Amino acid sequence: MLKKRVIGSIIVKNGWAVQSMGYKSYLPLGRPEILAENLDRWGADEIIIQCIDRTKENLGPDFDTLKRIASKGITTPLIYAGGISSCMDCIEVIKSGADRIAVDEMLRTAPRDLKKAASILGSQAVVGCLPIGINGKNIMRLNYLSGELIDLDKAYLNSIYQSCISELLLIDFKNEGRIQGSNLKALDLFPTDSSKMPLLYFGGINSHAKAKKALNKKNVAGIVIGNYLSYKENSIGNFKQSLTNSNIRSHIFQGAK
Amino acid sequence: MKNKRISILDYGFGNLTSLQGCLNRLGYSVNISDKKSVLRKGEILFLPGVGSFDAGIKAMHKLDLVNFISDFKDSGKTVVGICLGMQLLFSSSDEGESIAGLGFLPGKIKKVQSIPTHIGWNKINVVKKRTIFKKFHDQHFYFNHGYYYSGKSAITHCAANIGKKDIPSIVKKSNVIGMQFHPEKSQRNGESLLKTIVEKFNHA
Repeated sequence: MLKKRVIGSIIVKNGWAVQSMGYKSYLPLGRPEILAENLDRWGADEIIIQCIDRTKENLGPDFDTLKRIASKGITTPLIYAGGISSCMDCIEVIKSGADRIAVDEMLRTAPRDLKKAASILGSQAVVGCLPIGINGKNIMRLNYLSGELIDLDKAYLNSIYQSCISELLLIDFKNEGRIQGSNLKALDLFPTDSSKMPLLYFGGINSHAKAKKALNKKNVAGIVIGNYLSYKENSIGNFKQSLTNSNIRSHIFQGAK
Repeated sequence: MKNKRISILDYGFGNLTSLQGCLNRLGYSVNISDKKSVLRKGEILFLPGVGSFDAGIKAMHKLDLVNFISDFKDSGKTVVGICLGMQLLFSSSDEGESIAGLGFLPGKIKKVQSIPTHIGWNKINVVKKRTIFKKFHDQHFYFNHGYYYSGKSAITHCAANIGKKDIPSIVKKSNVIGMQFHPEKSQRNGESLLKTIVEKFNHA
């Protein structure tokens, strides 16, 4: 059976890996390629590189960072996000070493271009991103560029579901990197059937209990973890061993190449 | 094992770095190209993954490589398809326009129905009694596809379970091999499988 995934996140700002707190304040961690090598060695199920300054500053994808990571011979699947705005960007990102792309702005600003990219790369290579927050019983979505919080209406969600993406990455941006962590409530407000749209969840998963809870949700195909993995050797392995969920791939330490 | 030369077809899209890196680490010399003169130097030809069926086969036609790949196979050298590359080995696909595939293997590629897409780590199960892939039984590999081969079991060496259905994960007919998953992205298991293929199916 297909296993649920524990995905390591590397947040990159200005070419450097950073620890992020709510996408508002940052601490330097080091070179992204070194973090990617660690996650690969520790047996992460997937790695997502989020270059968070690229779209805001209209810089396009960070090909240099991606190529540096790819040159390390990473044998873990790589998802790249950041600055992708055209079909050509999508293709170049894959050619530069990513296996999949993740897009947020492009879902709204260039859906036709995205569809064209999916027709070339296959929709399995495309992940949609949705930064969200909870307001009472309502889900709000964050307009990443303006910083504005907007009601997540059904029409918008349906348009995402009907687009050419294969999975939807929910980003709990307020709880990301925060001590209080995620409350996972948002997951219950999305369709529970994973056959409609498999979800990946990122933001504030900072304990085994939360990870277990998220992975046990039917609509969740994977959890994305950032800061929590950054400070211990073999953190993915230790994390997986403590989860003891049968729905994840058992941990195998890859060792040095 | 050293000094084996491998060619990887560059369709113009797709992540070729990972496969190249993996094969280099195993000690093989790798050429990535869309030129016949370069590709023919290889003892094994890899058709890599990432992409849709029509985009892949159209690119092959545009590069005038369809007959070349067929001749490569007919010369006794091994052709290995990964993910999309495996699907292109078949006659046709439901994905996109109905353009004929390479037709090296009989059968059609169909859309995965029981789940939206088959993405993530799954175990492969050996289904053929005599197969070189036996040691990979029950091992996890990384899949990332929305279409699959649904056809003759005679060429299916390994399968993978996706809910109520088993789908072929490794197919082989003579010197043509297809893998629905990405060995180059399957960590140690993937490297070991690639090594097995290069070492055992080198007909040059």
